[in-house]
Amino acid sequence: MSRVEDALRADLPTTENTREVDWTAAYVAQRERLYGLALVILRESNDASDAVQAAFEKALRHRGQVRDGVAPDAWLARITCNEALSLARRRHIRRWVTFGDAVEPAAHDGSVVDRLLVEDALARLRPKHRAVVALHYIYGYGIDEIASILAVPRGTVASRLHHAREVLRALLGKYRDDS
Amino acid sequence: MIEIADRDVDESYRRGLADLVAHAPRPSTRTNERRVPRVAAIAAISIPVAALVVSAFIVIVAHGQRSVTPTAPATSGPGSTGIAIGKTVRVGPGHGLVANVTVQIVSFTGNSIFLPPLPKNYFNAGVTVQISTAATIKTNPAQTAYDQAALEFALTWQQFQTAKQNHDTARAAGLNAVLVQAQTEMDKVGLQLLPFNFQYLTANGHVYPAGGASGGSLSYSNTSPPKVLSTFNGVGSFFMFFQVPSRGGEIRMTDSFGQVIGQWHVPTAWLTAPG
Repeated sequence: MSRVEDALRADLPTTENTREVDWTAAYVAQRERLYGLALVILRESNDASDAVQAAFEKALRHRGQVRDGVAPDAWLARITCNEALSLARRRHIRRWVTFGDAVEPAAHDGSVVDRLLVEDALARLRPKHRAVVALHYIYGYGIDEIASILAVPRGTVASRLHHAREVLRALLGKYRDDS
Repeated sequence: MIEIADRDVDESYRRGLADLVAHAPRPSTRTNERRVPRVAAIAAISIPVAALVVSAFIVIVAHGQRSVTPTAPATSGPGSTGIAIGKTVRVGPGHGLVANVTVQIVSFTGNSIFLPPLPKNYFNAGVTVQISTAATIKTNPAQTAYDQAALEFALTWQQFQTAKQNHDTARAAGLNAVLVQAQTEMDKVGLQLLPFNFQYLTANGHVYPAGGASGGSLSYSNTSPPKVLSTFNGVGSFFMFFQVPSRGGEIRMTDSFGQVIGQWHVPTAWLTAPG
């Protein structure tokens, strides 16, 4: 049994504390999206899984710090971002690996071009830029929300998003010129 | 070089990331292939597919599908006539729930460590549903009555727990009787609410119940009565999945008598999102 499971089993919500988050439900509901978030930042599936597991363990340890008015999903996204970025720093991820052999060409429609270009763009971005990209395009968060989640100034978020857009814009332009 | 608008860049990011994440490899759940132990069995937690009743709280009536075992076809139905993913269905008081319901995203995946194992040649269809109970939407009398009963039950339940913690057995016994009465009242009023369920209708007419559901931003709780989902400013969403043998078809929302009150057409694409 994992540490997360142990913690979840010991953490049944109580009605005395109506603010208590149902962490089992949160885990089931959020893990796919958090995995996607970590995957975009780390670009490696096992690392992404490690980051999500570490994030949930940390969330459970610090669950008492969830304040009223703070959405649990944003809080989990923040912890996952921090874990993924921390992991990226620790492992000095400079190996521009691709997302591997998960491509199933027959299963894709027109988005395959976008996917390949986005993979290329992500490979040219630093993890902290990729975190902004994931939060903006997967979660749909705005600049202010991302700034809050990553605990950086909104200008920094805007700058990182602009840079990420420019990288993909250049790749799209080259693709269209060539085709 | 061709000028690329911000909008095109944004769309490329959205489509590319959705495709990338939907088809990214999931870490193996087999121990001998893992680098470190991982969470996998947690996916076996079966959260009942909820029938939902919405007002200040969204109340989960736990009579939905509990099984996460592969779903055998239950009934047959006609071809798809649903509206597009991302469109909203207004559910009126005639069906108990008064709310706007939107199937926001449908995405297909293969086996995932996050979900129960799939039968051979089956897909997971992950569905995100948003429920809105804006102030402009009127609540019906039965819903108000149920909310009142649920609130009284919740308050009594809290008092009951406090009495038990204080070893006040006499008070606990008295409150227990009140709880039984409140539960009976909730059941009686709840029958008038006609809460709804979701089904997946494949292109060949087979109907599959959901394999599980959980309340994303609805703060779903299935462990402490009453089973409630609290919304944030009257809006919340939840996630559910279906194990189906083919992509395409439609998502159906039915009331508790099985009458179809919402249908969303699902294309065969791996990710179907509005816009």
